[in-house]
Amino acid sequence: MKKVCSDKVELVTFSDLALLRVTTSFVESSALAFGLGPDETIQLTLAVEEIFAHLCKTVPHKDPIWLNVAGRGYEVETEFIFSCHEFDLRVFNLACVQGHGEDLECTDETGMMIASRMVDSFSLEHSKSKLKLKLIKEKFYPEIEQYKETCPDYSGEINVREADIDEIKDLIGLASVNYPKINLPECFRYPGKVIDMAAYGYYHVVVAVDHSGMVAGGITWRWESEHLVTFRGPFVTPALKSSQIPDRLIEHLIEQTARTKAIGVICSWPTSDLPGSLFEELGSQYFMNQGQKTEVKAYFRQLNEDPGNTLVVHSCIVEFVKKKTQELFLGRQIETLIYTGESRFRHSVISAKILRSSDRAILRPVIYGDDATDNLMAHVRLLNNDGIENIFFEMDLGFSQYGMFAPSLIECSFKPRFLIPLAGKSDIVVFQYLPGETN
Amino acid sequence: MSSFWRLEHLLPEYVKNFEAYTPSRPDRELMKLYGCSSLHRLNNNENPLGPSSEAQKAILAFESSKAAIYPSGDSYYLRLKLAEKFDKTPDQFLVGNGANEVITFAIKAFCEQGDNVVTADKTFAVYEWVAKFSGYEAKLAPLTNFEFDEQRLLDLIDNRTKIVFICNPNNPTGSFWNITRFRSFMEAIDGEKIVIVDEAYAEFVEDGTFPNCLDLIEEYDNLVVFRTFSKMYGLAGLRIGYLCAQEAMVDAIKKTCVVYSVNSIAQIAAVSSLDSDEHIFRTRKLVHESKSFLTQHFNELSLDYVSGEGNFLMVKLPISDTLAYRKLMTRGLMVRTMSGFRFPGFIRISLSHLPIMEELVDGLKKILK
Repeated sequence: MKKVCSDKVELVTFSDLALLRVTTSFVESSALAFGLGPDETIQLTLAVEEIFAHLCKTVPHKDPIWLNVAGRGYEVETEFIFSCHEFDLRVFNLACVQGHGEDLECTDETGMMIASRMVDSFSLEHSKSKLKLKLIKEKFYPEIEQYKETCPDYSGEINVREADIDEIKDLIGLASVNYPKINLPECFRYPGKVIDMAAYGYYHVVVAVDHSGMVAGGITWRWESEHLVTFRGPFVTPALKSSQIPDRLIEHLIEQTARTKAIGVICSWPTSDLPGSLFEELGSQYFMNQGQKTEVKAYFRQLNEDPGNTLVVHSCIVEFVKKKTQELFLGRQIETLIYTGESRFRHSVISAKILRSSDRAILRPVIYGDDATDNLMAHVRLLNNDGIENIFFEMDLGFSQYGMFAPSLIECSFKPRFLIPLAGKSDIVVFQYLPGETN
Repeated sequence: MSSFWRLEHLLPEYVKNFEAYTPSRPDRELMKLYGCSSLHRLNNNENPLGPSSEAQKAILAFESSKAAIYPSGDSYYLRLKLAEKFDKTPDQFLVGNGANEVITFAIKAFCEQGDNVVTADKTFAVYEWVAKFSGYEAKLAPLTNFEFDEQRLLDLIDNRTKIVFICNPNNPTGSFWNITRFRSFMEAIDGEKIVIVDEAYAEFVEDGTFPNCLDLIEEYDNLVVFRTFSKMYGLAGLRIGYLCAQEAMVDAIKKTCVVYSVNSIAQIAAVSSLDSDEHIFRTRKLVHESKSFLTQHFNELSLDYVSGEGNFLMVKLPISDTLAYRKLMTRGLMVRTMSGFRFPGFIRISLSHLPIMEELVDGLKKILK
């Protein structure tokens, strides 16, 4: 499939409300130029307005704000980048914390939360002296619900290769007819979106085709983060379930990702055709949907030789980390994080990524502070009130100060579910908010 | 402007997108992390016999006071020795801090923005890496039956291709082109592109049809041959390798060469190594015995393997190679996972002394139970 490069325009603006109109006009015109529909453009522009107004209140007056708008055919991403060392990061919590303990309440929604509702993905990332705030608005695509069942006769040698447009459609049809909905990526409901995502290199679709070009199976993947690839599948036609196709699809995935920045590939919704012996089980998470709970296992495969590492872990999760590292044969020296009475920040900061289409929020620590428990509770309440049921917290063990969040997480009914080797600076422990669950 | 902004704007995209290679930690650290009391490194295809006795004597004879003096900037005596051994002129050799450095010299010398290099997808990664982090495209031809495929390489060549890299014998499959195949490829190239043949494992090959490409240099002015002292000669820790070509070619590559990068001890040890035929004989014998031992056990265990020339072989496991690596590490056995070579599920084992090979087979049996 012919790859298309994404377009990007940049604006350097300043923290000054007088520039609000300039900023929103820039985003609006760029989004329209990048092919976003008028309705989606309005929503994105309104979200940008909320964010910019919020930044003008919080970023020191006249400080520069870099604004990038990228068009990727299927979506437009707006990214605000600004320095953050000179003011109180607390204002970048999605939830504002008022009161303490049981009296905790969120009296005023932040502009960021309001903005997050107008877009498909919202995220705030913190790294050293910069903050990146990303808003993604997707193009509208028609949903295809019905596919006709077909029983083609496959002949000749099977080849595994990158899919073209028709083959993507055929694979979506094959998967939709033969696999339960839970095994299908959400984007499979919109074949046009999958084709556009593949054209822009954001989504990879590989198919197994027979001699006559008939699609007999496939696999899809995308980059979850800088170091992690998530995949879905393998999908195989019932006629060839016992063939080598699933193995070949997995091998292709590994060959394509092995000499990249990826440290591993992970699949949380594997089909029954996943060659399990080639993967390691990391643990399980629950998928909550309108109160209904489904347990799903996460399968992982490291792509490189694990270099070994020393981890500093809070005592309340040390047993979990020991158990997981032993199960995975990871060379880890585990030391217990000890608080030695040093002064701490009064206020904690948590970054958030909200993925509305998959009903998921991922929280990450930025700064530990005395109000960590209250802050976590405030985030959970806010997200729950917004109808988001699947709330995760990712703790990178490469930053020992993040470990201080562990007791607060446990207190707020987060449970450690799995450990992903080297998915961040070091291993990442994934917690899930599971009220009423025992470990 | 903060350092973040400076870096973001100063770093080229092709460097930003490149992931730095992480070398393994020192043995003592690894043993602590994996809880093992000893560690056999079977991952880097080093020579278990070490350097030849001649090289060892030369290393011991090095006067420590001479550490204060710069080495010969162009490895003068080593080039003389190489010229004498291979019946060439000293100016036909360029010595580097390991063969990896001469790979970099060659790419730097010939490629400019928009150019590409062609090689195989499942071969030594450094050709691809150096091209990529220098901003050039690496076009990769799939192997056929674990061998470099002439036609697939030729199909990838375009008017911006400058270099074709051939690893002969190929690491990690051990396959090689014989003299007929090699000549026919050179004829197809017709002098239009530079052909670099990496013969890092040439000294291990006993097959008479193997094309010692040093002998072909006078015939092809576009041919460059790489050799190393890291494998057969057991000097991996000293980092020394070289390239050989016609003088005009060497003069061209020399322009991008960083002089004084090869240390004095490495040069002295390399000179002495070239006289050690006995060492080659003993190493070949050890490789032969270990290879027979392993292949016999892999047959018994019904494990598929790829065993060609060189002091290594690849075996396919029914579990992930990266998991096998970790499990073997807990038993003090370090192998090379092959996912990074685009052979998922395979591990590459450096051939070593029989008792260590026995330990490896035992370890494999236990982790595959």
